[in-house]
Amino acid sequence: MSDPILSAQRVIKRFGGLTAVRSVDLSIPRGSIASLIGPNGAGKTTFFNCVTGFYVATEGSIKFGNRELVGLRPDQITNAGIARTYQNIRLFQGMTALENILVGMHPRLKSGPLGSILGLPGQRSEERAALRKAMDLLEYVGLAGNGDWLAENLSYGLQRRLEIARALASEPQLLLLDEPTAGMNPNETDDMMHFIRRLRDERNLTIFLIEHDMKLVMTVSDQVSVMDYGEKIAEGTPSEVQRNPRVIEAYLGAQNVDKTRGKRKEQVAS
Amino acid sequence: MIASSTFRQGSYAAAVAILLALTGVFGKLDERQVVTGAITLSMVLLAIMLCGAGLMTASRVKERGIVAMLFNGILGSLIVGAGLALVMLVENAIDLTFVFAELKTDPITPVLTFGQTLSSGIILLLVLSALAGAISGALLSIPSEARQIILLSLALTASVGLLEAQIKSINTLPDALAVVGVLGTGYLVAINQMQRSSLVRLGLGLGIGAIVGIVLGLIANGGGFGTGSRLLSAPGILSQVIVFALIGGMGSAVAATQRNIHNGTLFVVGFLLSIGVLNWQNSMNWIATLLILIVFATLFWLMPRLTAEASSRFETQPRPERQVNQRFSLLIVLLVMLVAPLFLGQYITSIFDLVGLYIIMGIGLNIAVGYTGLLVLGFVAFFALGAYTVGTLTTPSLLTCGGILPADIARADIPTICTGVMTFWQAWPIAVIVSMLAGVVLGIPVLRLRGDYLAIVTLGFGEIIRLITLSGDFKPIFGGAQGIGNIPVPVVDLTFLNPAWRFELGSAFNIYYLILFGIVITAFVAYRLGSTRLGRAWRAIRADEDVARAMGINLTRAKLLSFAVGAGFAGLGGAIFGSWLQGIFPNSFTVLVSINVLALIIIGGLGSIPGVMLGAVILVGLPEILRELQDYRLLAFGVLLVVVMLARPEGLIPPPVRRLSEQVDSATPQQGKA
Repeated sequence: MSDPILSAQRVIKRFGGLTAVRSVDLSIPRGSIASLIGPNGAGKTTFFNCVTGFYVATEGSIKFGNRELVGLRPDQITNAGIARTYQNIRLFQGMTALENILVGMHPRLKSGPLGSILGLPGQRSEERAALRKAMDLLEYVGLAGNGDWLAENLSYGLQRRLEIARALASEPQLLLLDEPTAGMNPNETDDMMHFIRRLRDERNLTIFLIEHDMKLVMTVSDQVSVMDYGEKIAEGTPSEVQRNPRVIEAYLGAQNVDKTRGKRKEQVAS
Repeated sequence: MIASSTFRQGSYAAAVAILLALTGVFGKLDERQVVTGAITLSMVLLAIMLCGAGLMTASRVKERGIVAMLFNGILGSLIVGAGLALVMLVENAIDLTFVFAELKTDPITPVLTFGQTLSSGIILLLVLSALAGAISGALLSIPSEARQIILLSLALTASVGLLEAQIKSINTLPDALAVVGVLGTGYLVAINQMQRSSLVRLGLGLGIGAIVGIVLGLIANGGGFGTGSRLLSAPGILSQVIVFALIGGMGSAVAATQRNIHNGTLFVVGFLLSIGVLNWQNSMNWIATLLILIVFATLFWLMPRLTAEASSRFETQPRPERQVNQRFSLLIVLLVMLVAPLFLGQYITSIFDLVGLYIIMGIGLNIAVGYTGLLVLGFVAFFALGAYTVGTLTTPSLLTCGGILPADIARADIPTICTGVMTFWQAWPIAVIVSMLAGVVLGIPVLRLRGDYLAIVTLGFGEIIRLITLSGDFKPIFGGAQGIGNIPVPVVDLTFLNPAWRFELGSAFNIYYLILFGIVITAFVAYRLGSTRLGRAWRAIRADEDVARAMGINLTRAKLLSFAVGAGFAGLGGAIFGSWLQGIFPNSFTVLVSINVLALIIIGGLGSIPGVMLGAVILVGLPEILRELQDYRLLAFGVLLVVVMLARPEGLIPPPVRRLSEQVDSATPQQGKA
């Protein structure tokens, strides 16, 4: 595992007295598909938010290549080459699918207000190129022909795909997917699984995803990290993780229930 | 049979009617004639009240069939009529004027008894109420499309009647018929030649218009039947040919165009014909009323059909064809706006000037509120800054006289002259820049605020600016409560071309062109910004600020630019306002102006430039015309806002969905995947 694209060290995120992420170390190899799993409330999305700058980690460091991300604004992190999707779809309502993708391209476009007002040749050709690229992306995610639909009028599955297209528009090196198959039926989930593979293979991406669908996680992932109660409790290849007793405990409950409960109360109190 | 809701709703309506009656509204509106010698504005109000109650109560029993609707409608209207009758009885029994002082000059009884004695008047009122209720019930039982046609044509006929004196001399009936004829010919020709390109169709329209123009000119001049007509007795056949060619071209362009332009053209046609009828009859008598009603009813019956056909023809064209159509239509609209003051007369033009200033401000506020979603309630501050900047820079003041008060110069006999005084043309860019900077200065501290908090802070900002201009400390610069007077009017000096070409833009006619220019510039800039990278960033921020930020949008920069551009537009409006009125006072810049601008963009449609224009016409133009209603202006705004929010939550003209995928097709062919 040489040259991790993302490496987090001792990341802690506290909200007042509540510690949502407690000292997580995590590194993602370049070009891999890495998954982050864990029960609800384990702190997975909070960790995502720390990476993308929505939250500022209370302690610790998150490095993207050699660049420190903690303290950067979300727009700076996007500029650096990280894009994400959301657990509950957050497309720009009232804008068409194409416009959503064009907003995603924002950091890669240069034209300023004056160029737009005057319609300078540079601005015009940039807009044309951007539009063409947006059409290509639309086709790539399987939304060809839906470009002029308002985002909110697309079906659920298509909205998910549009969100990915919007994330791809910023030309990221690392793509964070927060539960990409939430609310999908088994067929759609299968499609999404192949799509995620295709993304990595064809677009040269590293993909880091949060997911509850174990079939998908175990099939596509090169590396699986497991979180529970804010801590990373296991990491490894899918088969290693599946055998790990702490993971089984987190998902299925421990045999010694009383002991676990006691421990958990302690954690909340701290 | 009788629904309990009928009594409840009828009582509500009656309460509203009684309250309004006690403010003396009937007496005030009785002066204004809608149909000469027959129907006054107060009768119209009474009809609205009675029918409104009838419609409300009848609509509650809609599923029970026509008899129930008639019955409950009559009952609802009767409750209102009875309420008003009761007020009259009370007014005659005891003296109400010590509480309701307005009744002293505008008593209710003489109006609502229709000049009869009290008892027979009340009987008449109740009979009329029952009739209104029955009409309401019947209206509800016919198809909704027919109902809309009836109500809209009644409303527009009433507005023509109201404006009789101001609009009577705009055009004659031969004018209107000639315009409609040529427009229609161009339209029909274009429909039959849809297989040809839009340029060919335009050419046909232009040619046919020109030929008709020559013929009409010859007939009119030869037969002397164009007397009094503006278009037909125009000086010289050449101008006639040009005008009619353009009208014919417009007809062919409109045959395949978007909804807004098509509807707008039909409205203009309707008004031209109505004014023609009015001009021919020379007053709003029964014949004119009936004819105008027929004109509008036909228009509204045709409108949905024709517009749907025209817009579907428009949609099926390839994009370059559409652009030819669109650009030609815009050109015509601009030309019409250019010559409009010559026809509209002083009074209507001055209303247009005011509407225009509000359009400029509305386009500016629309950038902050409509595009970016930043609720700014103190927008008048930027308007005031623009006006005061021009005011201080173009008059002798502390700033322009090198730090010496102009008054002191005279007294102390200092041989200084105020060399710093600028012309309007030098001052307005500074005014715009000052307003933009103020936008940024206000923007920085409030960047993190959202929604309500932002609204409150900006509301305060508006008041701060007004209080600064009012304060004694700044009196040497801003003139305190007296404001700044003697602001010179903008002068367009073209004497180097022709010694006679020196125009002072002081009159309503001349300033109109400056305002029109301002609207064109601001609308253009807003359109360009709105449809490119920055505009998309703004709309993304409005939709979801956090995600927009995660998309790599620099919120600080985007929001400050939004504030600055919006403020700059308001500054431009203020600069024109100050030099038009030649004097400015702190009290012209109250929070009511901000509220007005906000209300007009909400009613027009947030984020839509045509919406801003329509909103300004409705919210600024109509109150100017209905001067009697000045006291009820805010009440009417409130009612209008509620009605629009219920009926069309996105505003009257919502922003269009941008169909970008077509632009790709017309662009250069794809050069492989990026």
